Amino acid sequence: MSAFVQNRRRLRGDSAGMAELAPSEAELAELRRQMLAHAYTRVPPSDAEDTTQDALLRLVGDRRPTTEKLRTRGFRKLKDVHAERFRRRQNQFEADAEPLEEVAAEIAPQEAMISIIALEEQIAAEAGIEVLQYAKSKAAGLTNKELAADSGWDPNRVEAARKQLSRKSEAIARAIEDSEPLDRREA
Amino acid sequence: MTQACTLPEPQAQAPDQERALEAALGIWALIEAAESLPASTETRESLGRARRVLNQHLQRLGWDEGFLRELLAESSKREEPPGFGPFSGVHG
Repeated sequence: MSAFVQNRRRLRGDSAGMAELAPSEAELAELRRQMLAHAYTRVPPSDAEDTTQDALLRLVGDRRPTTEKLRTRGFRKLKDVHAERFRRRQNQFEADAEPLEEVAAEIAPQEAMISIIALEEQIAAEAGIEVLQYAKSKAAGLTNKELAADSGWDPNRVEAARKQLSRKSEAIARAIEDSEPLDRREA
Repeated sequence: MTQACTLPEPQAQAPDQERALEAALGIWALIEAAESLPASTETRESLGRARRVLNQHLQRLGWDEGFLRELLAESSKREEPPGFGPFSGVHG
C-alpha cells in the first residue's frame, strides 16, 4: 500500500486495513483532546486525565483488525474505562457498606422512640389524658387523697379517672398488644 | 488575619428521648394501675400480654421496668426533672 493511499485512508478515518496502521501522533493528540473534553463531562475532573490516558493506551495496544474509525474506537475504549471504573467504585461502595443488621441496630432506638410515643398518643386518644396522669400517680404509690392534693383534682375527678381506667383496661391492653414491634413478631 | 469560626449549634436530641421516656413511663404506669384494679380474668390476661409487649419496646429502647419504676418513684418525691411528674402534662 502506497503512502499516498495510506494517508488518504487515514484522513478519511475509515477503510479496511486501517487498523494495521499506527495512528499518527497528530491524530492521537487530536483524539486525546476530544476524549479528554468528553471525559470531563462524564467523570470527576481528577479522573478525567487518567481515564483518557487509560483509554488511549488500550486503543494503541489493540491490534485487532477493524473497519471502525479511529475516533469511534477511541470513544468506545473511553466508555469501557468509565464503565469499569463505575463498577469498581460500586463494588467498593457495597463492600464498604455496613451490614444491614448493624444499620438496623443503629436506627432502632429512633424508630423505637417513635413507636412508643405513637402508642402513648393512641392510648391517650382512646382513654383520655387524665387516665394516664391518674395511672402515673397510682403507679408511684400515691393514695387517692394524695393524688387529689398533688393534682388539685377534686375527689370526684379522681374517682372518674379510676373508673375510666377500669373501663378502658381491656382496650388499652389490646392497643399495647397490637403495637408489638415487627422484628419481634417475626422472631 | 484569622476569621472566627462559628460552629453550628449541636442538634438537641434530648427532647425526643425525654418524650419517649415519658411515653414509656405512662404506658407502664397504666399497666401497673390497671392490674391493681378489679378486673376479669380475660382483662388480666390481656394486661399480662401487654406487659410483655411493653417490655419488648423497652428492650429496643435500652430501658427496663426497674428503670421506669425508679424514675417514677423519684418523680413522686417532687424532685422530678421537668416533664416526668404525674401531673406535668402528658403532651406538654
